[in-house]
Amino acid sequence: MDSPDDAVLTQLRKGVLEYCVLACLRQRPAYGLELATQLTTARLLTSEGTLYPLLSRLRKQGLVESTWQESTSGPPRRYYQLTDHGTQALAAFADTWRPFSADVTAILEETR
Amino acid sequence: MTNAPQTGLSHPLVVAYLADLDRALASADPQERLDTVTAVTEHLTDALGGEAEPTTEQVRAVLDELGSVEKIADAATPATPASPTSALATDEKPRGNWIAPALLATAIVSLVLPFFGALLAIGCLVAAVVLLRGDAPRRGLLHATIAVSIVTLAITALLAVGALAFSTFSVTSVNETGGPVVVTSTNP
Repeated sequence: MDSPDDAVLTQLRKGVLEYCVLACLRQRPAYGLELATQLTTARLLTSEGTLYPLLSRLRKQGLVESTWQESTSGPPRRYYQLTDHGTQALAAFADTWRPFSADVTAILEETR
Repeated sequence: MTNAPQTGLSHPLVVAYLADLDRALASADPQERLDTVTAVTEHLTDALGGEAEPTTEQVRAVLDELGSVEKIADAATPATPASPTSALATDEKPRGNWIAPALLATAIVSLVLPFFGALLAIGCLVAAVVLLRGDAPRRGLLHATIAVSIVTLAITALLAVGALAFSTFSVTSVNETGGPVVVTSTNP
């Protein structure tokens, strides 16, 4: 059973995870394990496997696309990268998130 | 597909995990299920690929990081939900429930209204046929409406024929030179 803190965090993560995935791909394409490790290290993902249904949905929505690239250390890898639509969606989220998070912080501080 | 090293992916724990994952995703969107199993296989290939023959501990550590198959399945989109027909069963039917009884009642009233009832019966008949071509509820009542409307129209037709049969017409031609023609009608 999750504690109330865990439950809040789980819900918050659910709401923003897809945009965090898009943000991870903003600078360069990445392969699955690489993305999973980055998001886990950032404590945004608790189970690496849950990333993959999300990536499938993002691809279906046209926000990311994947290509195969040769690897120097093994078999070819599937790399995920942002589409133009994904870049726009990420920009729109960032524009919304900044004032929203500032508003939440402000109300928490004011009501202390 | 990838040329995955068999040593890692053929480990019994990995084989069991992938089989369990596929089963856990049975009720997920089919494309998402396929994508997820493929991507997790690629993930395992990368995570275990560096090891010529990973130990059971190494495999366990990688699978622990991936998380339980149930958690992954929970993150997937369920397969296309209820069909439109079942959606109607829970949503649309209650709203249209009054239409069929109202039509049947109107059709019954049309039975006792000679001639004007025929107009009502035609309206009920058309409405019932249109509703039956869709997904209207209470289809039995709509069939009954059609039957009653047809009876009303038949009675109306019989009354009209009877009225004509009991009428007498006499046509008198006064002469063959184009004189006036007198038509008299006598009702019984």
